[in-house]
Amino acid sequence: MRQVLLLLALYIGVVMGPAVAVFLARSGSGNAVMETGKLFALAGFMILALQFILAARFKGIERPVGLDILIRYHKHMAVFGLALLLAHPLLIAAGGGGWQLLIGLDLPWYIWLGKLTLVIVIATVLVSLYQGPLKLKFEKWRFGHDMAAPAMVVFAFIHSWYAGEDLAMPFMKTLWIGALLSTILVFIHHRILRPLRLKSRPYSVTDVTPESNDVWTVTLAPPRGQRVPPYLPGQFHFITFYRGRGLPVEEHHWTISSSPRRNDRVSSTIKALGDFTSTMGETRVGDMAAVHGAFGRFSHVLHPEEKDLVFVAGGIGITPLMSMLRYMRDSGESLSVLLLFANQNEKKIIFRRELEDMEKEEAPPRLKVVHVLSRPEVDWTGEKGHVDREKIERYAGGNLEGKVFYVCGPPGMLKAVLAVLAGLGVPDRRIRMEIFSFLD
Amino acid sequence: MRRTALKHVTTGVVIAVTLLLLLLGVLRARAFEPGMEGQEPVPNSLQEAVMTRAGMPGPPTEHLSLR
Repeated sequence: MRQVLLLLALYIGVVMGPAVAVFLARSGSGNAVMETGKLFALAGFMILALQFILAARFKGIERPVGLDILIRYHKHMAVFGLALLLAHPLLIAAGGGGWQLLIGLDLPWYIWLGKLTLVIVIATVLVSLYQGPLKLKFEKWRFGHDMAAPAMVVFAFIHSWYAGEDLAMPFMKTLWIGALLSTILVFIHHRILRPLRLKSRPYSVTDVTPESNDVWTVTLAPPRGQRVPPYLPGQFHFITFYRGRGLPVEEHHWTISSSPRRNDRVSSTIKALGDFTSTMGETRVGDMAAVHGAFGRFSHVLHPEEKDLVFVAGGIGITPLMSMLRYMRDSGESLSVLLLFANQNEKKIIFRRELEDMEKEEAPPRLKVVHVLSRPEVDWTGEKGHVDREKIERYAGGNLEGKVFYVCGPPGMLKAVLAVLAGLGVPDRRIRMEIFSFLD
Repeated sequence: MRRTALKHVTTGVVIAVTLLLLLLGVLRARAFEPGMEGQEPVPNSLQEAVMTRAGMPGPPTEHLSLR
């Protein structure tokens, strides 16, 4: 918590830094609207620059909050930065700069460059927010984002360099150049140098196990002489497969399904959900992969005081919970776990035999598995329908006090289960969930 | 829940930064005195700027022909 507060204070400090500096340095014009407009631009530029750091997967920043939350914060701040940058010309014009600034054609080139920057920022934010409804493929979106993001910062820098009166001050020039250089260096590190480094030391595929007709567990071994870096059960990592044979090369993030107790192999269980993941079955032993991770805070290990857990999984959402269960088994953690595992039908249930074995074992954890099928075959005698209030109350017991819920699954199921838990009076602090997609 | 906390944090940051910017904008405008346009020295460093702002004499800037 202290780390999060420290990071937030640092963030606000960096965003406000240039505005405070110019406030201390010069009194500016006598127009408050004009001055606020200038300060909005300074803060907006800093927010743009910091976006690169938020998205660069730096462990020191990610660890206290989790990458899923960090990326969402990045998205929220993009909207805020855009709002400040949109207000900037309006306030300047209203504060005495003249509306000609907005509607005139006979303007200096650097004002036009500022307008172009705004257009790029607006387009980038809107496309990112509505990538889903626009049905834009992740890789295409990412390519566009990688082109637009550096362009908008460089253009904003040039615009402010020529148009900003406050940048006449030498220390502001230094600060501005420092911000731009830091941004470019972070971008080069994140998008070029680190991927090259990871590719130069690839993991190799040691096993591809079909779990169902559209789910595979891919096991990877680190480069010779290396071990899998420590990770928490429930975390995820980014993998770029290099398989040749004309198969696509794209980076995606997948939950780790193996137990961290084993450091010579790491596995991810992957469902065919799109064009790329549909090719997972074509992955062969010996194929190479660049692995970056691990990330996330969806792990019971971070809350050792909690002993009575209820896992609610939907389909492939079982993977982080499976990693936790395997870790509990391997480390002999004396925990009580109820797993409510929702699937469409029996054929879709993955890890079924291993879960049954864990359930039968005398050794910890004490596991009870309840399969809930939404479209079962006629001979299914188990639970039918969805994980609803009645089933949670029946299996978890009337008294939910002290129980902690871990929920992972498709967005519709997450929403429904969260509503049920809220209705049962389970406080937010005892509900943990994995937001599997960064784009929701 | 972390997602709820994120909403609170985001709202807090947006409000804090906006209010601070508005406050600085108003204070900066109020510090303006008519007739001083272009008369202020351009500080070379933040330290010099702070000292000048605080009413303390900063390092001489005449040699830089900034007046």
